[in-house]
Amino acid sequence: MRGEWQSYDAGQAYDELVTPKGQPRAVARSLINHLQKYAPDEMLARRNAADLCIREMGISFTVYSEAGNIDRAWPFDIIPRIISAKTWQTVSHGLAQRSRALNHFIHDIYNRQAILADEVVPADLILNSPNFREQCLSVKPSHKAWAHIAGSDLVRDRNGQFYVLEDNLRVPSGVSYMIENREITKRVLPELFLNQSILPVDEYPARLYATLASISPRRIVRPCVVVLTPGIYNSAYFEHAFLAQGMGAELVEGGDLYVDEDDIVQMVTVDGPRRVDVIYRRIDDDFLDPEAFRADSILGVPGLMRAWRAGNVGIANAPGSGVADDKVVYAFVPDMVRYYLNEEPLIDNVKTYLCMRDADRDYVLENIESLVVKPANESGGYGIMVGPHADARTHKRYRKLIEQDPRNYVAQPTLSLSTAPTYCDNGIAPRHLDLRPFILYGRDTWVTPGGLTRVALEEGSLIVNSSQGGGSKDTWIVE
Amino acid sequence: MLSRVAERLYWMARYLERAEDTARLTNAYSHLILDMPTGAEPGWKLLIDTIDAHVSYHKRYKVFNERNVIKFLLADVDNNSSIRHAIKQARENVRTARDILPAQAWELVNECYLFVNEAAPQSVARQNRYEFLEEVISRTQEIHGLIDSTVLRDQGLWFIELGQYIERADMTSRVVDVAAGAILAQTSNARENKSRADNIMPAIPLLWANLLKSLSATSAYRRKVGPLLGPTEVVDFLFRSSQFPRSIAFCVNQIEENIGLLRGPKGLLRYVRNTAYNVLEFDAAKGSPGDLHQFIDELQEQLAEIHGGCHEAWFELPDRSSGDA
Repeated sequence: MRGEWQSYDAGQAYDELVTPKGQPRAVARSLINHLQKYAPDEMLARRNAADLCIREMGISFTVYSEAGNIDRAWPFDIIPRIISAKTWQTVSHGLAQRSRALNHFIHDIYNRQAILADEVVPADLILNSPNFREQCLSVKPSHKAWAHIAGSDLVRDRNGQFYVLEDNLRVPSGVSYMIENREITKRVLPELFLNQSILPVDEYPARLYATLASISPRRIVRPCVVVLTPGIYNSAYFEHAFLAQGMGAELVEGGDLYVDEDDIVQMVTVDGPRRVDVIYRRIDDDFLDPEAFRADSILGVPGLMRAWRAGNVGIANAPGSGVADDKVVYAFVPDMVRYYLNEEPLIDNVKTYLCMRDADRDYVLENIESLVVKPANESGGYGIMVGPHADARTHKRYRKLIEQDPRNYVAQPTLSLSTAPTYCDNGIAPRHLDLRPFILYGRDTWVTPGGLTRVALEEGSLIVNSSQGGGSKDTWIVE
Repeated sequence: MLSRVAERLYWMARYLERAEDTARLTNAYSHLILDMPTGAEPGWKLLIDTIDAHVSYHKRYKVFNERNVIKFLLADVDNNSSIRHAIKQARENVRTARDILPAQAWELVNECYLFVNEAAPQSVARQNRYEFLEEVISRTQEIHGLIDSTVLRDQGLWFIELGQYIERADMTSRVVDVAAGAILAQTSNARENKSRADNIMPAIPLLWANLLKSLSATSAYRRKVGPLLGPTEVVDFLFRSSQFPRSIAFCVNQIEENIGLLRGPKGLLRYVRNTAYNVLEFDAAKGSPGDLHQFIDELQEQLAEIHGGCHEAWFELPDRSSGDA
């Protein structure tokens, strides 16, 4: 290794690109050899080019704050994260397996409830969950598919072993950034693509369309698929527009749709009403239909649940899918794989302590300083307490929270997340990261090659969420 | 196509046209001021007259000086007649109709927005103004070029053109109204007041030349009418030329054509045809400056009526709160 790469040291963590001895891993050799040739100002020039590119492409996300909503440029690190195709294959199979099990589970919960009767999963855990929607009971969506689009967060431990940290089954976002990150890398570091075979990622919108079309109630050649967005002020609006454009679908808001007297969903067009077959909704269950859920919602469509229950429209993800997206239910996914598929899980969960269990709770209360405590029902990294990074007062506060509402808390050992070389203000340094692949489930199952790598830009930080100062990297699966 | 999306494309086009036309107008006017003999300048108030923005102007400024007026037209972000506001609105509309337009359209509009935001505040001074305005014009032209060469020939494009020509007809008529009105007033003033006449009369052809220039009509006029500039010929050309793409007759014809392609309501189509007929019937040789002004006033009302007709035909969403009340 040469130049500033010589002093690169990932410490205890597994580094994605560099071995503990400081040599490039086989998959990263070509990349690091290339980057080593750059003088420091050359690296800076490439980074500036990337920043400019992001600004001009208008890749942004919205951060909510008390001072108002800010449209921020997408934070991007120019050094890609690389995984070998061989390693990825196992992970990919594991994710597909997981998605199959989760969909079986949701279908079971809203129909026979066999897994509860067999006491593999405690019934009260599910039936009393705020994510369990009575309105979905006895519905049988096409292909028994509920969570058509899942985004599972993966991390790697000290040995480089992959684990699933959580499954996002409601409205997971980030896939557009996965595609745009590749676009940026191609623009600012085109030389890197010359001598390697890097799996392309831009197939996603076409795959998404195929998945959505496969749940159309009408068997027609080009069913009418729409993307339902809460509107321009949503943090993921950029992505909603991106996906609609990529699929050639209409991007609609609640006000563009209505349900007619025959329980058919129509959209208001300049030629009059047009029937909608499939809705890829990017709004939460709560806001989907003021007749069925929150009456004060102005984002949704009155009567939508009626139309869906009557089988006149496909909704992705299906209402009620969130019942499996809960940090407590997560702990049971390996059991679901065994129960429904009669297979061993190909990809493991992170060891999870459920505070609702007496023994687990005692352990958590005693060892809170070394654990990561998470509320069962939050996303975006909110409400997470990282034991080793928190002070005694915070530990005390969380102990109290857990005792008050044990069902709502889980704890996991503090993982030493893997790192990758990241171009920071004072040169190239290791930063912690995770990976969010996307899994499509309709008539067929499909997993993105790689996914969105999120990186904690602050030294030592483990929080990768973009709303909390995280950035992202292009992710390469290399053959 | 969704009604909401159609409306956004329509407004995107209107705002882009507004930005471009305001840039042309300001540019031409800034040049005119340089050429005028001292004491004969028509004053900066005229620009505010043109865009009919007295109310919002007086919310911010007391006097009509160059700095205030230019700042108002270029850089005031909360003034809905400024270039900066128009580009911001165009971007908002593209942002929410991104799925219909080619991806590059968003990039161009976004770049234009970034440019205007950064450069507008520094472009009030004369030395930067010209460059800024030229850049606004060429960037908006670039966006239209992209749209013209990549957008499907279907409803989307027809709504874009509809918005563009309604806005352009409106702007052209305003420019003619105010500029021609001012020039004619100067001329008759000069005739009555011999002492000022020597100062002003030689400058009159220059004023007409600048009116053409502000609508980018100079060379078209020369080719179709000739090098001599007379009030009747200039007004007639800007009103009735069927070949010059910024004339009112041309714009109204385009509005009619696009409403036809969109299969608009018969009543609306009839109304537009009637407007086109009125424009062709206008005789610039007859009548006083007052007649011209009144005719343009009526024309602008008709354009507002056409806008209302389009809104009713295509953009209105069903009232969700209606129920059975």
